[in-house]
Amino acid sequence: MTLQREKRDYSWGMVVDVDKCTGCQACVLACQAENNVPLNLQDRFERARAMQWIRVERYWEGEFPDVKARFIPIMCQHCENAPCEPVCPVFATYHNNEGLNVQVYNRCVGTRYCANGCPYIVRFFNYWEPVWPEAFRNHLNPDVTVRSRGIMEKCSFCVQRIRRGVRNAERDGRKVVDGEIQTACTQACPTDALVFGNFNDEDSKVSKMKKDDRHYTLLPHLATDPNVVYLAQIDTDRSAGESHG
Amino acid sequence: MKISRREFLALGAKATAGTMIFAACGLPERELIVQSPVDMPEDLVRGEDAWYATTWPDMPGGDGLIVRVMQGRAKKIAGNPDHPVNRGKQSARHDAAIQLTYHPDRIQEPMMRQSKGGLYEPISWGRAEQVLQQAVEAGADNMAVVTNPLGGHLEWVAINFAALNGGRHIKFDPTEQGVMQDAIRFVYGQEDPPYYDIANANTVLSVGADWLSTWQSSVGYSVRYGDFRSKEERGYLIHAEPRMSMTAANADLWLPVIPGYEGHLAMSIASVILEERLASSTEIARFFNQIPTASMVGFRPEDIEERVGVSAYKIRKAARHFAEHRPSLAFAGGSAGAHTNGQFNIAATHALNTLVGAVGSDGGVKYNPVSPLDGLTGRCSGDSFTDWEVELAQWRSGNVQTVIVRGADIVHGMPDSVDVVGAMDGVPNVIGFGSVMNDTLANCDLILPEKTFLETWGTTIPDPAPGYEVVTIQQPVIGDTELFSGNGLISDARGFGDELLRIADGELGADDMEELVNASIDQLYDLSRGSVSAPTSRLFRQGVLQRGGWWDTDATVETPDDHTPPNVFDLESAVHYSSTDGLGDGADFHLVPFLSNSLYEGRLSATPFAMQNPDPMSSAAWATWAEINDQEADHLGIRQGDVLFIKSEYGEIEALAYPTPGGRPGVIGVPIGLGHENGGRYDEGLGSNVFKILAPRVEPASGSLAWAGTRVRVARSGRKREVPKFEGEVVAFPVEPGVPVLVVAPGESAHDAEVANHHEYQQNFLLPDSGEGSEEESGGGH
Amino acid sequence: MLAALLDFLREKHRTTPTWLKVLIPVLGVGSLGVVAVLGAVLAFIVTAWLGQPIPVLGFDQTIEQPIPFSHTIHAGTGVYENSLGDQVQGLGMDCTFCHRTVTTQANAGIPPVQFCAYCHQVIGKNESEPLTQIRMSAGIIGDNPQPINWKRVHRMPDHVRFVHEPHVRYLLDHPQAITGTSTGTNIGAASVCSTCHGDVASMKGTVTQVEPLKMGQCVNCHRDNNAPTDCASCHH
Repeated sequence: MTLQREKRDYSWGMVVDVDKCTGCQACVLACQAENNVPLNLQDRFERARAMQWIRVERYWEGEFPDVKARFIPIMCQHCENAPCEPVCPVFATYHNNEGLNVQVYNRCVGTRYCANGCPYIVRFFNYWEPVWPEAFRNHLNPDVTVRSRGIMEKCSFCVQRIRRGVRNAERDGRKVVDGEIQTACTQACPTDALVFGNFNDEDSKVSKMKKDDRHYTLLPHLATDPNVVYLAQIDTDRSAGESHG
Repeated sequence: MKISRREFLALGAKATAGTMIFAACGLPERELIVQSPVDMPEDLVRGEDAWYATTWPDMPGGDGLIVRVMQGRAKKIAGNPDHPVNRGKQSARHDAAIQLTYHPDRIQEPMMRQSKGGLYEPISWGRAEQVLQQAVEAGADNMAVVTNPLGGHLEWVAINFAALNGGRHIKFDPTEQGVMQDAIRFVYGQEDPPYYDIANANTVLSVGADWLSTWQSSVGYSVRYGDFRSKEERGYLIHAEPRMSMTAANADLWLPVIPGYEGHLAMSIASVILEERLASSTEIARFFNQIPTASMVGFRPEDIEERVGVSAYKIRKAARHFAEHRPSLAFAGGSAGAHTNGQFNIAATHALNTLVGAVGSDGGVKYNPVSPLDGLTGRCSGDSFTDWEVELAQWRSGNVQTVIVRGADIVHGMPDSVDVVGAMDGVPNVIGFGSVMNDTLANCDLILPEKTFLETWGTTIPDPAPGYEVVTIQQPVIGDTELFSGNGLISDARGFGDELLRIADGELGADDMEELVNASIDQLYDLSRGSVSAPTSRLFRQGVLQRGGWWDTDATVETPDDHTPPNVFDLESAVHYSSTDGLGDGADFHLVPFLSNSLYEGRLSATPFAMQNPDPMSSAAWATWAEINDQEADHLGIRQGDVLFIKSEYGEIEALAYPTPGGRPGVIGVPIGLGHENGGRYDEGLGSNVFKILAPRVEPASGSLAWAGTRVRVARSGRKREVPKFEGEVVAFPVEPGVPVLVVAPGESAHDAEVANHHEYQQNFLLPDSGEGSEEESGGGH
Repeated sequence: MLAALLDFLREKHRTTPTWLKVLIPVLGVGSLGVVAVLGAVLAFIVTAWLGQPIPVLGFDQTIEQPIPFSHTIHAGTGVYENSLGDQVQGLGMDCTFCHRTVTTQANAGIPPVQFCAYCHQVIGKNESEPLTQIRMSAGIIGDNPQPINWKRVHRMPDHVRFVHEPHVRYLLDHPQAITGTSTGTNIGAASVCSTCHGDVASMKGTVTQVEPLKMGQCVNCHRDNNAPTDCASCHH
């Protein structure tokens, strides 16, 4: 059983201000570079098996000329009550006591049950051995495993950066300061639409942002209790109480 | 006291990693360039990691970067949090750039061919230098040094090397912004591009410039956009552009103007402000100092809505918001300037600033100071197309003996009608510097492997600067790549600047780039102001390198707030109408090329990171697609993935149809960046090059290419191929059935919006006939 | 009784066809062989599961380094023979003298070759082959200094990220947690390191991995010392 949120030192989470997301894809590539996500070669797109730990979805609303595009970044929601966890026969995915939904690569046997269980479709399966020409191996991140074929993978909230941050704080005998740990995507995001932090710290930026009236979570009716909180996009053409366009 | 480059690196490493023991011992840093076989990361004997500050001069904006280096390998590029332009942020292009250094197809050694069209043979650097020297001597009277717009020291070296050898430096930018600079000089009387204070503005009106994605300092602007949206009064963005670019997609009000009529739209907005008296009389008086009163006749929205393609209601709405929610700011660029009437389009937009008192005020237009370094500017625009035509005529006629090319893919970036290859064939010695093969290098007689920005010294002056003096320093963060050759890697490359200085043999006052950069840092030290203060020049130098540059927030220039426009805009003689080359009957589409969000103008197409990064709007990758309005496509029977022939008078390309509701009917948008005939393994022969078919029309005032002024005919080829794109790969699970992304009204809580949506959904559920639409509509998403 | 049995066997011997008479002993010996091979394989797997595989058949963990660096002379305290056959007194240097980043970083840190050269540009005879290599790498001899590709000796299983710093820090603060050191002492850096690396100071020639460094060993120690046993602590 996982600890109750309040009893932990850290409860990592992210707040996504959809109103500020411009859809620029900087987070997507920053994540890929940080986490050694395999190159999505052309055939991966054509077979609809491209991997992106974080993706920016784009939806259209309306028709020309009154058309609107809506961007929303979606990554693993690190649900407190995650549908992917109980279905894993080998306990390769579990919830740790800092609010992370962890994927243990060396336990994973590739049943893909978790991917079927995930309502957010953020888990990706390695159908092929990753292709890294020797030269490109120079820039792979040594802190992150290069996953092999047959392994399920997904956003880890850059757990290697969290570990490093927590370790440094422990060495100095203190707690992690707000903003000290940044995931690759939050570091890259030019508009600060993505913010990462500790929900158990009342003064952290994420805790404050979470109190915004615009906060909501994705698919709330599934009661997954995600650790990623979204702030709704503001549309100046909409009047309050009006139904969706 | 001289300090070696390695010592710099070491000190930087120590400061970053905090291992002061090393510094105390004065330990050299040879370990940083060591020491393990190239293998999967877990097999590495792991070294300590350090973040070095540097920059990438090839990308406009002058963003400060930090690079994580471990074991002598660059691991990750991120924004420099200290840097005033991008404040620790980055774009996808910066992350992808790391693969230029570690590209498996990097040019490994100098290559030469004996005749045009001959085979390349590898030669030694010694021989290559001889050939280069001879070519420089042969071209002593008439030589051209061609680069991309660089700014900073690399450009200084190119200019002065050319001058020293009786030649000239000529810059190439395929999406040239010369029109914009002309217009800015005209409206503000400024040489340097001004700073747009987006963060403090309440209303921003941008025309044609995709400033959140690719235009100018897009990362810096995006950072300001974040502030703009999170202010107490949320900023309101109005964007006018014929296609729905990323900026248009984020706008509160998108004005899908017909290409070439951006100036008319701006004049119409001005006429509304005048008509409804939304500006003070002083502002109006200043405006009429610039624009003759008589010119305003005939721009009422109701009169021109047909012509500009935007409804009068929207024009009035934009004008009112722009005038009433100040501070307001208007600027234009990108495709708005790429018409034969480009100057009119841009100048008319900028004139709106005068009308709302935005010149010199917070949240308005602020002038930038000139660079604090002698002889260095940040002005990053290419030479005009007309200049290029003159230059290429010289090449073709055989008057030019030697051409040195670096970083500018002129073969790829110019219309086919110009026949750059033919011109290059007229020059006996074409010498190209580059790290990965491209179309221009493949037509050079001598190809020299060039070091990438991670391996060389340099400086960048941000263009535009954030309102004050900024100098960004570029330093090598990894050792010479030749050290890796034992592992079958990478390249025996040399820096472009270093090599030119070597050939110049001390006559330019320095032996290598490092010396030049050091001299400039000393010059900054002598100013004794700015972001780094140190008791000695040595410590100052270290401080500058650690922070990635130098800036002085107080070094601003006065922007007169009683701004009187220096010029009267002669509307009578200005070109009002975009003239486009058509094919006669049936030339029914207006071609709008746009810079790719991740490939830029093709500079990053060699890297798979950039190639596979989906486009923000279409989510397509690895292909050239054509954005076309979905209703129009339906009407024409065009489906997604149809291979289309896009034909202009000057040529024909193929592109995959991508019908989208974000396209303007009559406009076809095609991304720039693909279609390299020669390249690395990831981009050679992939996609189509839209530059090929552009009509060689120019904007008369500046001589720039009107790259958005071509009309094309579109035909289905009958073939069909899946568009490689991320969209559709994962099933969309709407927040609420029919609601892909939750949207709230200003001041409304998410909960209330959810309740309202839920009621709507229930209603639809109970009365299925009336509510069919809402679930279907979201289908366009992922 | 015995006679009856002999009769029976004799009868059997007469009635059994010759091919069967050949086959039975062949099968018997063959099965023994199969059992032996399977046993060896099983033993191999068991040892590999519990610790290092038996160092035969190319599974030897000894790794040749590009330069035969001697830990004994540097870290040991006895009298040792160097590469020229001379007897030299061990220096008894602390591990952290060279492996400096072990207390601050993830990795222990291979010292830069310049670091070696600080002493070895004067110390050590010119005839010594390894020292000549060191001096060449450091640029003291010749003008083509090249880095040394030291080989990794201690290899964790896949998917594990080991960080030295917190382990060294904890063991320095809690010497009672140090168990099974070969030297029997539990003070100082050497004993801390020897918990996992064995008594490197006494390893003549090449350094070998003495502890299995398997997950069981890690987890046991983590449990004993109340250290985190969350998977994500090490696996990412």
